[in-house]
Amino acid sequence: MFVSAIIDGIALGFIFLMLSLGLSIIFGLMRIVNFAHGSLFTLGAYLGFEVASRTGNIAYGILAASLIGLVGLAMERSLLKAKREPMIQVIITTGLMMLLDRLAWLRWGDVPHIWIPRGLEGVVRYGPIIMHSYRLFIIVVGAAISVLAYYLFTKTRYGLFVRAGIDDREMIQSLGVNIERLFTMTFAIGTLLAGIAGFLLVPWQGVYPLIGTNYLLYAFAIVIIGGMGSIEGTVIASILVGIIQQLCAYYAPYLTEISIGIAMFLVLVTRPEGLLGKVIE
Amino acid sequence: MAVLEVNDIRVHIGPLYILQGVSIKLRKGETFFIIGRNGAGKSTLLKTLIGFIKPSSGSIVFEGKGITYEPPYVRAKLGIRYVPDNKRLFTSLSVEENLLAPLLAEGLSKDKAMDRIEYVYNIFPDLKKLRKLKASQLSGGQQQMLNLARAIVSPNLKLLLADEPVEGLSPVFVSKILNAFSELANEGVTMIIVETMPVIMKELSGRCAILNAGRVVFESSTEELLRNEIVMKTYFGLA
Repeated sequence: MFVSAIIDGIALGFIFLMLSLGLSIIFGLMRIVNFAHGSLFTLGAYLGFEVASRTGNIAYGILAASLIGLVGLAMERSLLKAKREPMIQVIITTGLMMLLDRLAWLRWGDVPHIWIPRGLEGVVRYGPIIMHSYRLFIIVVGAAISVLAYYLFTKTRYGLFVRAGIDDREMIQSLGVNIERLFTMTFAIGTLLAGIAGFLLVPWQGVYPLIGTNYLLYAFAIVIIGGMGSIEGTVIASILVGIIQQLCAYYAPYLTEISIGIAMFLVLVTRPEGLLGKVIE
Repeated sequence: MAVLEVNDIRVHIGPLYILQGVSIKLRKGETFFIIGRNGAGKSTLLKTLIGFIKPSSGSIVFEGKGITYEPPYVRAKLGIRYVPDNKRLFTSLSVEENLLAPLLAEGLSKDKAMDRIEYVYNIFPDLKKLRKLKASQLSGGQQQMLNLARAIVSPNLKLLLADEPVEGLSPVFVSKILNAFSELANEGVTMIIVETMPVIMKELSGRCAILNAGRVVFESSTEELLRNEIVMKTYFGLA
């Protein structure tokens, strides 16, 4: 049971990573706390569910969910670009969160929807260890996306500009980088990852209108624990929180929510900038 | 023909009137010093020229093109580069990545960018040895060398704005930075250098202006200023 909990924890950790990475990078570069991020996770889940359940193909579902990146792009260009003051952006994204959650409820109702891809319904046994096939699938897909994200942020021109911009977005402009274009791309990539994460969770926990907003709390905790704007911190914190959450779910469900809160409290008291974050001047 | 014209620039920051009608003209290849006490508005002027601060009124014309309200990245593409007084390096990036970022922003390929970085390593050989270290791991003097190197690595550099480039540095590093500026002056790079005390100004000839309370109160060649005992004593306490 312990190994199963760890495997589930790693799988959940990858879901958290895809959800939190966008949130962390968006804050680190743009100084926006995107309260609509969870709603885009939900929207990705529903979009992916609709396509996958009709076609029977999980790849099509993932592609459909990634279209949330276009929603994020449109959101950034139309609503967020006009006013860059932090408080105004909080109000805009909170309003969007309420609107999107309500629209999801109107369209799909309260009842959770679930769809499990054929061939991944069962379990894999290895001696006494039982592993759900779909959780292993999430680990494989999550690891692949994480490697791609790592390559994007550490080996590409775009990634170099984002990392420099997180350090000092005014100076990177003075060296010739169009920061508005960087903002848009980052917002689109962050929301694309959130959309895919939402859909990947559907066969495991289903989708309902408030799932994204609920998971957003975990994402905030992860970003705080890992350090805002820190890619490496987000990776470590995501897997850590995933494992803690699943260990509690298996052994002490009443501790699940409080354990993450305790972890966040300990980090804030001892190292407020997060495990690998930087002090913001 | 002037390569840079700053016409009656006025800047307010909140209720404070920082620049009160500053006008200067630079010819191509000229080295121009802006000197004055702390709080005179020297850094504000450079930040206005690079586009970090929007002026309340006045105009800035660079190579015949009005850039008064253009964003910093547009000014950078025209060949204007800024060396801030508090370094502002990309601390999570390595030395080499700090030099690579502006070159990739200009659209250079990685190979051409590395050739250009070798040029900068010839001016600052110390940086080559430190190239894999994160910028945050460098000493103050090494960071200042990287700060200047990041600005001059561009092959399209036309105007360099340097704010207190040798402030607080040990004589060893002052000497290295001075050599770099001499080389830039010989290459005909137009430069505006801000200093509180005349350090580089004593080594490089050009023109200078004294800024006091947001206004230009004295303008001359560097030699004339250094010979003017009244000005040297009034503004720098130097006999």
